[in-house]
Amino acid sequence: MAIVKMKKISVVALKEDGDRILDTLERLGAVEIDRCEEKGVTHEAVSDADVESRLRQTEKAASEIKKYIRGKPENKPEKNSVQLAEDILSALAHRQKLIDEINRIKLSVSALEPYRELDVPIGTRKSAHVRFKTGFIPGDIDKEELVKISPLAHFEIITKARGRTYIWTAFMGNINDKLLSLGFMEEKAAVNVLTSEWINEQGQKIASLEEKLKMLDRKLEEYGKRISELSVIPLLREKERIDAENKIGRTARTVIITGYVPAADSERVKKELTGAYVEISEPGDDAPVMFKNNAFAAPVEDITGTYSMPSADDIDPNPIMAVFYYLFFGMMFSDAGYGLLMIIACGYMGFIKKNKMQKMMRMFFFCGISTTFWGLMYGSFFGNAVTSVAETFFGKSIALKPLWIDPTGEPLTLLIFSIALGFIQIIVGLSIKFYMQARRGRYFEAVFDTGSWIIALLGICITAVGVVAPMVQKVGMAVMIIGFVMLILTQGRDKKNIFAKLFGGIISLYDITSYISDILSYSRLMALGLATGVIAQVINILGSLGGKSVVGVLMFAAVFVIGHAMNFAINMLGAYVHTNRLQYVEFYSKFYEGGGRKFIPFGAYYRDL
Amino acid sequence: MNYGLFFALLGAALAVGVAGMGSAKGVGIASEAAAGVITEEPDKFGKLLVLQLLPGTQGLYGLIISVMVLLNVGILGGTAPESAVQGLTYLAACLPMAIGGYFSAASQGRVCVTGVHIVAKRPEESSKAIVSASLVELYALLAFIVSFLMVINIGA
Repeated sequence: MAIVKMKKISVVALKEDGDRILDTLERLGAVEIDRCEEKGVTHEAVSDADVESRLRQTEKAASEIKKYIRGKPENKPEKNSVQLAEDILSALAHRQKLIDEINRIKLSVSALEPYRELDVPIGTRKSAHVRFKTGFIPGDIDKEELVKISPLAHFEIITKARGRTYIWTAFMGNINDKLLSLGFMEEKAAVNVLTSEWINEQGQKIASLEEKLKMLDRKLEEYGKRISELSVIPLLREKERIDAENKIGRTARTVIITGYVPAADSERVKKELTGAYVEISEPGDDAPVMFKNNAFAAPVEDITGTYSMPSADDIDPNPIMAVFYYLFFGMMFSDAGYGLLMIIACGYMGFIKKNKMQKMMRMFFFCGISTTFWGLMYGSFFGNAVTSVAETFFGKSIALKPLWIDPTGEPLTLLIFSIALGFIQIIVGLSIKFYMQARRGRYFEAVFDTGSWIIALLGICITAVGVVAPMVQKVGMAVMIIGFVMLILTQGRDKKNIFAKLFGGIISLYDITSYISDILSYSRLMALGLATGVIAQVINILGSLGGKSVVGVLMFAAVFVIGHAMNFAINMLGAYVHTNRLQYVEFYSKFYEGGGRKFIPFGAYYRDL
Repeated sequence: MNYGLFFALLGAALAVGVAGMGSAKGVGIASEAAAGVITEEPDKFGKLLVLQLLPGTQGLYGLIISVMVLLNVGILGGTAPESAVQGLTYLAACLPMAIGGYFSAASQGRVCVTGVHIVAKRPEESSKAIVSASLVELYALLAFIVSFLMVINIGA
């Protein structure tokens, strides 16, 4: 339930033991190796470019070969065969070449197709006295018109197609200009056999290429069965190993490995590293950090991690943040039907089926529980599906009564409740800051800077609650004023003269605006909760427009499924985004410093797989 | 039929139409930017989808306000406004959502475009891009709350 305590570890071993030590460390997966900066050591600088290029090849081959996989391949992600990756890529390149070739031939065949009936080879351009031309004239043109071109020319119309007239001519003299004026395009293909024969030949060529293509595809399917040999894991491992080797400090006879190890693992690691001198010591402030939390708080660790890892001074915010996270998510998504779907889907993905996203799924599982809870509080189950179905199809009026409040009926109450939650979270945040400052012995800062604001905000809070009883309100006002006076008196304490001190104090009250805007920001708890419910109701209204009939039922079912699926997706996204934002912007900004570095132990990634 | 209903419906139309225009614009530019990244790296689709969709919420808020009005003025329930002034009241109640929705969606779209660039270069930082976009969303939410409170309390 905290940030894991780290120790610094240094291992000194004989040069020949270096590999064995690294193997052990990799197997243990408990030590992060950092670059050894001892005096007088040298470092290797092995390049990982080769591994990188194999990695890229493998990734490319694996993604390309997916198209050729029939059925489900055996999943054994442990091997990496560079040969296979190369074979696949070269086969694919060959395949592309074949396809290009086939297309090229098909194109030239289609260009000569209209000349199939011509009984002279196109490539024959002249005989002893006469010259020949083959080609086409755009548009429909008759032989009579062609004859007019020259008395010394003979014309044959081969065919009329594609809006062109294909002709062959035998002539003496020069008829080029006249032909060109008709838009004549000469076919210059060097085909010295009859066109029909040539087309047959090409057809055979295509057939043989296609046969080759089929064989290649079968080969690729064979490769596809071996996709488990295209795992990137061995390569990632190799890369990490090279990286670790480069970080090791080396002297003439020894290797020195320095790094960090969780305090709890340090003795075990020491015991495992036989034949080496191991020193465990206290780390500096730049030690990497790792969270360790119970099953309830652990799932939100990554949410904190994406914001920032904690610095050496921070406490682990996850256990407290988790409570708010699940609560807020539930309030914003707030539909029992959607919540149950989340519980089922994310429960399965998070606890039963093994996968990479397990942690996140567990988080959404807890969010789902909270969503269901708030759905019941608001009386929302797929919106007002119960009422809608009962009224439309059974003519009865049944309603799922909200356990607490109907958000559309009493939005103001809900708004006040949301704001109150905001007050609570912000005061909790400030209290944590108070604790952190006090723990470091900065009592002035804790009491004056943080404490005054806690008092002032509590005062505002009591005043607001006290609307019902004037007595309470007076107490609230008094507390608030104490807080403000404390601020005025203390916030200028760095200044030199008395006026500057007072001025600084008064100016600090201006911060109230940022607190107010933070607190009002929690109104989104109400707004998004309302949005989910109202959109769900709109969907049900649209669905029930068909009335009580077979068509009506079908229509209701279709609108229900599509509509609620969309509402689910969009509002879940909204709830997720805005819950994160409340934690990051409103809550963490109060106390969390962050800026730490995540503990990534050597070898742990592969140990987990 | 009187002018009351006309003005109320005009309000409902503006709430969903103008806020929807903003969303369409925002989602449009975010999606254009995302399409560029997807051609290079299709794997990032999931992360980008979130950014593409974020400016879409304003249109939905507009829809809610619009439906709330329709539920009150005799189209989906309730009774038609009796006077033109009463109709204009509905119109006024819809304006925050229309205006706030339009401008917040449009500028949220621009934030999302820059977010898409963040995802393109440093996918691990995508959640920061999303949070930035949600900063803009607050103002649509505020507009929504105000419009909502107005609409439900006109009838009361």
